[in-house]
Amino acid sequence: MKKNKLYSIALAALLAAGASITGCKKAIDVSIPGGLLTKDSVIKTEADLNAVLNSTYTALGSDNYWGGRYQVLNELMADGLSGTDLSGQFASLFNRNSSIFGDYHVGMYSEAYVVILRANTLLENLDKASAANRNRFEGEAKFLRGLCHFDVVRLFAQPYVKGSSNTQLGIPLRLKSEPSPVTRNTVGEVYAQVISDLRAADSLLPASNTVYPSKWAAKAMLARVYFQMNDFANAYLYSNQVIGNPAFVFETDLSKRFSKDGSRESIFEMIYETNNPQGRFNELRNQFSFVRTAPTVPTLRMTSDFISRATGTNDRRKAWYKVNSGFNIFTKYDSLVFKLPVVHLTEMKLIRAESAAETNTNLTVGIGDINDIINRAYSGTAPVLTAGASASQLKDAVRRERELDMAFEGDRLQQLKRRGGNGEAVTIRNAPWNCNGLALVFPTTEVNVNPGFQQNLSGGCQ
Amino acid sequence: MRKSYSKIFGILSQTVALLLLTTVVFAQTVVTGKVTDSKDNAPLSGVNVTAKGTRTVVQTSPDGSFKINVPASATALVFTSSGFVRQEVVIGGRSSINVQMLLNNQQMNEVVVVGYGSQRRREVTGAIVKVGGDKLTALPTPSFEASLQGRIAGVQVSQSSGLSGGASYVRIRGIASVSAGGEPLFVIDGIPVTSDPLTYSNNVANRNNEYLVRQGFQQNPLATLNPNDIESVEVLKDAGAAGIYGSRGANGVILITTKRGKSGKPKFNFSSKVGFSAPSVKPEFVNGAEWVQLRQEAWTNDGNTGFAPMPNNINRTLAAQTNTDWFDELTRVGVLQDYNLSVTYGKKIWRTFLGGSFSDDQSYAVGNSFRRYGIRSNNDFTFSKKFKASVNLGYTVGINNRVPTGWSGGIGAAMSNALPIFPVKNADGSFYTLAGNGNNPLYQIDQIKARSDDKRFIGGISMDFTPIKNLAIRFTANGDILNNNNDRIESALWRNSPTAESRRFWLNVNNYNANLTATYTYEVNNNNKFTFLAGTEYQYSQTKSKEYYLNANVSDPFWKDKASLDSAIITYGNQNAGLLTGNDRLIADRRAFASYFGRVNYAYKNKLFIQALARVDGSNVFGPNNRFGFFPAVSAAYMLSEEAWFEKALPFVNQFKLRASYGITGNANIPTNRWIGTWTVQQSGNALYNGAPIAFPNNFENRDLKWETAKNYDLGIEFGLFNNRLTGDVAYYNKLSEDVIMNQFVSTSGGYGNNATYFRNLGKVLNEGLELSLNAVVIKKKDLMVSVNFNAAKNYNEVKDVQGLGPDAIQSGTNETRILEGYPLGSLYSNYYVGVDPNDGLPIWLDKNGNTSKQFSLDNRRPIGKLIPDWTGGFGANIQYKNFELNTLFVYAEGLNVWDNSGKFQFQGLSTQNWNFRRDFLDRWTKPGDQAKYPRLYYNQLYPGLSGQSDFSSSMFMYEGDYLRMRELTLAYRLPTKMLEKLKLSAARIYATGFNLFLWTKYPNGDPEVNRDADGGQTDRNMSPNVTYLTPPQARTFTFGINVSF
Repeated sequence: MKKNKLYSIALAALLAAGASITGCKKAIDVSIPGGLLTKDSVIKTEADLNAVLNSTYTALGSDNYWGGRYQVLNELMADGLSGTDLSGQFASLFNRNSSIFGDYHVGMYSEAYVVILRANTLLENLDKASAANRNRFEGEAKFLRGLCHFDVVRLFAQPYVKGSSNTQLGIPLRLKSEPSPVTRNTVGEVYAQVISDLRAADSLLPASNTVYPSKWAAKAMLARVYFQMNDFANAYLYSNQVIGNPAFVFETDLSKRFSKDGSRESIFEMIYETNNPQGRFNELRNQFSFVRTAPTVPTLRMTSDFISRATGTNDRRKAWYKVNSGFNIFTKYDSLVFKLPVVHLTEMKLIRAESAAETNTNLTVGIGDINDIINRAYSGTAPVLTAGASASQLKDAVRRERELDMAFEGDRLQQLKRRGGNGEAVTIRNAPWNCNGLALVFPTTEVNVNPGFQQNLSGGCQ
Repeated sequence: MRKSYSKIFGILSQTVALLLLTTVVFAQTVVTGKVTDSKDNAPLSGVNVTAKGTRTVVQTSPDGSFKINVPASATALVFTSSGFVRQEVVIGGRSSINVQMLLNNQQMNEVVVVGYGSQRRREVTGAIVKVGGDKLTALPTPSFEASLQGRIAGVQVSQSSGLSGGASYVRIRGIASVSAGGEPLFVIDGIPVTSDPLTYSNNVANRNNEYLVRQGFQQNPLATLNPNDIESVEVLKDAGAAGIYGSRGANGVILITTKRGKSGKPKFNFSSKVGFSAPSVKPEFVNGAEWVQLRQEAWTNDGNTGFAPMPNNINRTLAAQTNTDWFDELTRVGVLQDYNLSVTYGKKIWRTFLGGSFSDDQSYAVGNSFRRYGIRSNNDFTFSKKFKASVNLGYTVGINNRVPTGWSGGIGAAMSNALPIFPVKNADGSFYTLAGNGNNPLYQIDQIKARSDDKRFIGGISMDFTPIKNLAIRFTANGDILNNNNDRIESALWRNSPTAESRRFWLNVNNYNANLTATYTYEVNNNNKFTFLAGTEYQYSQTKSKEYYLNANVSDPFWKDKASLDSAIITYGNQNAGLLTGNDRLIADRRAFASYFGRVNYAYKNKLFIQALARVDGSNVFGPNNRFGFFPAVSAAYMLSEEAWFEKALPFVNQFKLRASYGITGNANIPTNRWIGTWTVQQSGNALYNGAPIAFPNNFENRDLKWETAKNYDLGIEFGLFNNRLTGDVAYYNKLSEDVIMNQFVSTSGGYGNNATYFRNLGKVLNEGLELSLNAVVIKKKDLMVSVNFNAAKNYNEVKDVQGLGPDAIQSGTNETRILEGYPLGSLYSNYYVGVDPNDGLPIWLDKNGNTSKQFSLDNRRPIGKLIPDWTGGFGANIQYKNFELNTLFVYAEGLNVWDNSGKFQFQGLSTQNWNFRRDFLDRWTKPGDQAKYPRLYYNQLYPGLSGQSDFSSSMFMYEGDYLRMRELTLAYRLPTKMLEKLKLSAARIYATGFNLFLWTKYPNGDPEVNRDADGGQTDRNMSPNVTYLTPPQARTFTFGINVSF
């Protein structure tokens, strides 16, 4: 009797244990609290992929990146701004002596990789895209990844040197969403990846893509990248293709480039939100424009030397400058609402013209390009290049007009570095084009968590 | 089956035949009876019952009964059992004899609560220390766990401050955790309770991402427990003991057992005490005139001429004439009172303990108090031999009037930005605010009210069922429900706004557990016994939080102004209507544990004990790739003193037990949801792109995140010598914690932002140590008994591995504490200060290469000290003379540094920092040739290389933190029996206690027992003991009390 009871109890206990083991997994599988969202709960459909894609553009256009810091960082290290009244981080950046304690450049660096992470996440979840849109998602993600790696490598590494193997240290390439430890890839590897991403984007993207980057944006970026590498044949090839597309119209009104309605020159532009038109690109306005900082004069002011070159009597571009409280300030961004071109037709024409000059081919096309720009700037009052102008005359004219036409768009520093990488003896404010401090120092966190990560040396540019 | 039955039948029939036969042959009588334990009337099995002078021996059965055939020649029965006094009982013709056995060795037979059961001390194979409830009520500590300080070797306790309702910090056998909880598991009557401070930084940032609500000090959920309800506390230190708690045993376990009813008539117990407190030390600062003069010195040192500007440009002459002692203004004589009444009562079926308490502790800090009302009812029912049940109900209300401390103000301001040159009030009687609102802490206390109100229920039921002999099935279900309202109001005047701001942070923790265990005892024979335990347990805990907020023209906080609260609740409802399933913060935490466990105990002849146990824990706090952990432990104890040869060889040794254990335990105290990679989705609002929703990841997901694993060895000796006049315990332990959870920074290029972190099982930390406890009865006479006790623990702590990561790759606290391979956990990593250059008064540092340099650089940081003590412990004496009793307890810590993170600002106080200047800093450089301890003062010309005042950390502000403290001195008088009889009392005791009377330390800034635990969540909880940031000192308290039983 007792024994039977013992057995039945043992059996019951075994059953209970069995039930609890199977129940265990369920019992602890409590829902994630507070409505916390995870990747699995967020990315389910194509609409969700679209939301991830849109988040890359908010990051790209944020104040940390194309919304201002990208241009400010480039211009601080170039030669148009006055350092006299700068202090703190801006002073050390101006002196090409970025500090590991500075967070200004760190913010731009990390934002670029935020875009890359989101792009990589998108690439890893393309299975949720419909066949009709899959290429567009992949193309945009690769376009963004290429753009960001390119922007970062130009600021945080020494320039690409034409004809060398470019084994100088570049930046970490992030091609997966998993943030495992990394070291720096070489500059050559980074450029190769950027080109591969942009070429893929070129073949994947549609010819027209509303406000998002199209095939033509990829081609324009390829033109910019090849030009940076002093690969003039390819730079000519791609800029020529873009210019050949009648969708992009050379604006004669100079105020259009940063305007509320946008510019027909824009090959890819960042937009503002209609429900919050003043919500984007404020870093650009905060540092350059009077409209945001009034009555205080904006922090970034032009040297008188630059102003004397940029405000010639008949130059319509002098409207981009004004004097306030004795300081030269910039007005291109003096509008509370505008669209921000990331790459535009004027740049394509400048690239095509200079590439023509550098290769001494298609000079007529190049002369045509630069004359368009000169005529626009001087309303026909300045002499244009004659049809028989030499390659070197063309090059000089393009370089002169490029500095003035794309002033403070974040272009100048990279042009000077590019020329250094092409064997020219370039100095930037008396510092060699490849002095240490012209490559920004990496965030300490990046160095701290990646054993073997080599930090840039700061200074050496004064 | 049939075969065995027939065999049994065969044996039985033979036995019966034999019995019949013997009855016929000899004249015999049969004696039956029962043997019980004199202590608790529990039946004793295995007792040898011998008919004296014969070879007839029987053993008692598990219910204590025996039946013996006594030959005519025998006149007495002899009862013997290991651990009990031998008893001889004359039969005298009786046929029934019941015997109570007396323990011959109290200590080894003491009942010790272990996880899911209890054992006698001798059977215990793990390292367990028991502390009686009387020790927890002896001292006026803010919470019961603080009373454990200095009482147990290897249990380090330090209070965070002397404020009422404050937290303390408990470490068992060192510390291995960085970002996971480092505290032991607290289990009250079977339920693991909410014990970590209600740290808002982890779960609920308030709407402005400020943590003002905490007022700079932690809220301790354990403070609501009434120490008078506690019968005993058992501290489980090693894997042999704590292993049964599996993934939550690695930091040790503290089992709290509340009082239970006793059989018999109602017995009442009343106790009350009143006390008076003051800060144990007072930090010293320069006075008003000195401050003005020193400011001038700093100004002149910078090369300036003329008068130095005063803070906020206040009048310089008036400033020099003012001398406010803000510390005195903000402190007072604290008053505490405590009343308890309890009754125990028991009948055959029902036994009960009923207790009620009230205590009010107004600390020395102006405006700070903790008031607690509590009631507890523990009931036991014995329905039948087979079925018992119990019901425990405990409810307490704790009301904590909170004052700002640290950076938040109050006494913190008295040590920082409330300068002696500021008066408290203007001539017209209004508060002086010319130097800024925040620089008048009394004004702040007047204008900001903060109160935390805890309501807590801890209770449960249990059922014991014994279906068959030797099998006990037990089911328990418990609940720990904590409701906290943290109210705060800032007046309109303070905010300089038309409206006041009233807030309520509501927090609710519902924590339930249920377990089912079965225990089966199998006695193979007299010498070999097995006990099997199998069990399963489920625990679910959910934390909810809300913040009610009101900006209106109100003057009373929510706890007084119900109408305002109602309107804030409506507003909250409206604001969150659409968000309750989105990103709201309503549910901050939800965690579940499902476990099964088993334990086998084997006993050989009451002298050798072997235990093997294992537990499997599964929880949602672990990542999906590691949901279940397995935690085994084996341990053994050998009572050498039970061996005849041992007794013969060492007759003065009364008891000698060797014990050893090895096991794997875990630490699952991980902040919730840290493995999850969370996402943000913006469907509307400003952050869209092209008018369309955006979605993005916030943090890196770690699906591998799991418990920390500790590999524990314990080796111990427990002994009693010279008739147990000298007893003690020596232990060695070695605990290697692996997969230690750290909050590692994510590579910036990982794309989660620059300072993103993620929780990762990353490091290895070793804790190795020795523990010694001694108790000696020095004098034992009729009227005089003197005993002394001593305990000491040495702990060696070393970070063994951090996978090559450097000091700044792991988030390791708000202070200069870092996780460095080859150094103790949380070592100080800062600049090394060599001294002052006598020529120019500038500080001299050590650079990277060990050369001196006057250029400060954060690149030159190095490990400069450690916050973890080498030795901790306590000692004391107890003297009883007639009816008088004197008790003392001293506690100490040795071999540690204290890091004063406020010191660097206090030193720069004369600069634009505008802080109080510590008196010991006066030893500074003033002119060429000075041999000074501290550098020249400056106004705004920072020392070379410094980029900001907060970077000025160095060994200059690191101090030796060794201390010896007289924690307790109690004089008590027990009323003599005659008087008790007259008063119809059964016992009465009156006493006076001095708490924290003396402190010996080299630390220059007050009290070295500090804990900056309120800033950075759990990581700072682990890293900040012996770090101070304007921490209020411990209290010195005198209490007078009376205990009466009737």
